[in-house]
Amino acid sequence: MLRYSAIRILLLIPIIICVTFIIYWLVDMAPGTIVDTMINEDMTEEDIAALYAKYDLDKPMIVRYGKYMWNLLHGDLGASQVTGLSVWSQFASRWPNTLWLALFSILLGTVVAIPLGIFAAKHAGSLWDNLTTAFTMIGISMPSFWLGLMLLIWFAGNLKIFPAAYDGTWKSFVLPVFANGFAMIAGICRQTRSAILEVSRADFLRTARAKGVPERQVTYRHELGNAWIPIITQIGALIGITLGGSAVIEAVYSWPGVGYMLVEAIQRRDSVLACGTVILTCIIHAIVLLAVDLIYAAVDPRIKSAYIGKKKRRKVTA
Amino acid sequence: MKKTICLILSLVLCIGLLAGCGGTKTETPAPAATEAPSAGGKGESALINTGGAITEGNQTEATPPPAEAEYYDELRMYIGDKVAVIDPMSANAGGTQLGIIDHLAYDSLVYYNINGNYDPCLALEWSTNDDATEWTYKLREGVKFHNGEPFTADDVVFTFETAMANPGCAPSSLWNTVDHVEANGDYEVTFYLKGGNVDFIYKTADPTAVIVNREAYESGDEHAGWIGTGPFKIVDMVPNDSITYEANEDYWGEKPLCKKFIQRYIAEETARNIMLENDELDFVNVSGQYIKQYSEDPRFVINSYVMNNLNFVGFNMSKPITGDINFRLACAYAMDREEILDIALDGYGQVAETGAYWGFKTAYKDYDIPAWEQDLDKAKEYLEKSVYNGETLTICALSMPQTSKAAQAVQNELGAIGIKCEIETFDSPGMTAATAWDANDKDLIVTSGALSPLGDSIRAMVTPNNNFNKAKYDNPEVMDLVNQAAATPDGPERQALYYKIQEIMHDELPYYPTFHMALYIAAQKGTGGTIFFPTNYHDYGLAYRLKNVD
Repeated sequence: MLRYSAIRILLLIPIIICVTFIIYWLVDMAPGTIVDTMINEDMTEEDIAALYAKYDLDKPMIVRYGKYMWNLLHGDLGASQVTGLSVWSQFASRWPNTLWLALFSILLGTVVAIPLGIFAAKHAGSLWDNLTTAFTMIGISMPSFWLGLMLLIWFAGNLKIFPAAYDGTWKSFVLPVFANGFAMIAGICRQTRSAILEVSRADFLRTARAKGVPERQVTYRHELGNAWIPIITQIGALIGITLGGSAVIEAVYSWPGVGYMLVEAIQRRDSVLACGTVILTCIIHAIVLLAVDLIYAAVDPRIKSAYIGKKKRRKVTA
Repeated sequence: MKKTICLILSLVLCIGLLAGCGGTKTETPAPAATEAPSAGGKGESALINTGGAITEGNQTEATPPPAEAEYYDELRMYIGDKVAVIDPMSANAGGTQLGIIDHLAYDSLVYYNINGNYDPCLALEWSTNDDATEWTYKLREGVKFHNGEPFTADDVVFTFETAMANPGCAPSSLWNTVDHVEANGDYEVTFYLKGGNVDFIYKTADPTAVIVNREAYESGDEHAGWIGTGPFKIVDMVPNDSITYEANEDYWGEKPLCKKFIQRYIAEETARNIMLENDELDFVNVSGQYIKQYSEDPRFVINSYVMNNLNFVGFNMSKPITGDINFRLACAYAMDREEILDIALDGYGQVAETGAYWGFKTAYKDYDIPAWEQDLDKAKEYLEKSVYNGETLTICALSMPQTSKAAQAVQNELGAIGIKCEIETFDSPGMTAATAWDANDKDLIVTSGALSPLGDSIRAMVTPNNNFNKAKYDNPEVMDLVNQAAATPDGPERQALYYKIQEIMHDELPYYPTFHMALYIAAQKGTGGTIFFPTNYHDYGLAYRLKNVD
């Protein structure tokens, strides 16, 4: 298991190299540079040339990228070309907001979606199942910015229950969490329904029922116990995505998270901040995926035995 | 039965899908019918006056508060753009909101007031020599920076030297004609210019030409750039989100009327309008579609003004087709400024009053220069005489709603006489890069140009190799006139020079002026004390909100 985790973490290195190169290249390809955000009517050609030199824009992209990677190799994520603040400090100041938004959204999605998915699977083909399917279809199809705006208009505008923008209070969490969590409810619910249906015809369930195990225990212990893998995969993927920030929701609710910070960095052509944010997001995503893999082993003895089996086989061969 | 239902549902879905995938043909939307008050140019009433600062009802000065009034301790405004850095010495501290921040937290040597006159500020008196190459300022004594340090001539020298070492920061751009600055004792400084400039006083009165403190910068204070001498102290800042100020109790001038001032950037217009309605913000910029609603709502007042900047269609003079005067005349007669304004801003703005490139209230505007009026017969006649032969031309536009809509209007109007155009839109840095002097290969450029109240602000748009010369206009006679005018003291001679420039630019038509944008700021009832400048550099230093307003 440790060896597997170490390999997964080492695999991050080529991923980071590829991703940073792509981001650097894309920012470079975009028309305009950070200097073009500063030029004004009164600047002389010498002033503009000095700014190009200051940001190394007089050098080829590959040289700038090499310099960036060299610093990265020394653990230096660099400083934002706009604010001059270190990328790490900017990320660290924003990430808690993104983390809480992601965790609460996932919590909402999981708490509502799993029971709903089980309920739909248990009543497969009935009116209740169709209603659940319709609900999840709406959730998946509804763009989050639209839902965000509708919630804003109703609950902040008309009912005046919640604030329209982030103000640091618990109230300002409600609307973005719901807007973010609604699509998750739909996704996890559909995944739960199909996973439960998949195992519902398994022989061991028939055996359990024949032995007189109560239906509630059959559902939650045996059915759900064997359906966890795809559900965990889905939840893990959603956690990974939301921890990278939800730029749209963050923009609608003026939520000071990393998603919107990344968009701002790209708009300002701040390639150092953009790259640094992507690297940190990548690492978080990889850690979440690794954790998901480890959870597989915890919830499914077959996977755990596969790991142990490999170890034993190696010992026997030796 | 089930099969039939399935079939019907599938058909409906397919039709929906096809409808969603419909072509993206650009069509000119019909001009929006609106009963809301529109700009003065149309002769209707009256939310906009034609001269700069207005609060409700065409006032040109900040509304003075009534005696014995009770004020709210805190004021909250929507800041119209993201602010990532607060430091007058940083090139990254640019942006349209810079002047507003500078008015609150800093002072310039001189105050350029709403009537176009100069008032003492950090300097009490100023004088120049005969050829306007040396400008001497006698400084105010007893002024303190927010860190408690006294303001002296040394801070002015330090500000100049630091600005020059940081190209791109606002004072550096304003003072790039200065050779050096000398302190004559503690309370007098002289600016020595590289050449005569009779308008130099403005360069020290611009709200972004602020004075910073040497001690704060040299002590390595992380927030050295926050230290000014203005009526408010900056106490907190979240990049791209909010700035918090506290009243400066030691301010040398009139003390602020509120204790705390908060500026917030809210990206989503719906959210900020809700915040205004829920009394979470006191001042919010509103777009055309909401003006009527808020002007009729007794809880709010609307402050409005026309910006000095000019929106225009630039013709790339270095290209064979757009370089042909007959083609440019054909375009000028094909376009309709009022229709472009209606489409771009729902009519909320001011159509260009003359046919030359000049700011709305820029000095020496020649109102006798005729504006271009649409005449399709003339347009076709000139097109016949031109070198245009059915080629598809590129219109390059800024991706802001008003400029991209204006580009669509231009595309349709030129299409009406048979000129084919396609539109390319860019964000702000993209636009700057795509239309830089060396890179500009576009045919037509639809954007806006920054113009100050000075006649000399035309300089960037006519100077070869300047990235703001979007038309790649190169006429040595015009450059000569601009230089002569800059060195000529105010008076009839100077007026004649600027009039001549406008006449030439009208005849040669490198730029077709379309409109000046109007801006509307909805505010809670009982607010006042604000001065709205057509340059967008508003002064909220004495802003207030009265309690117990009926």
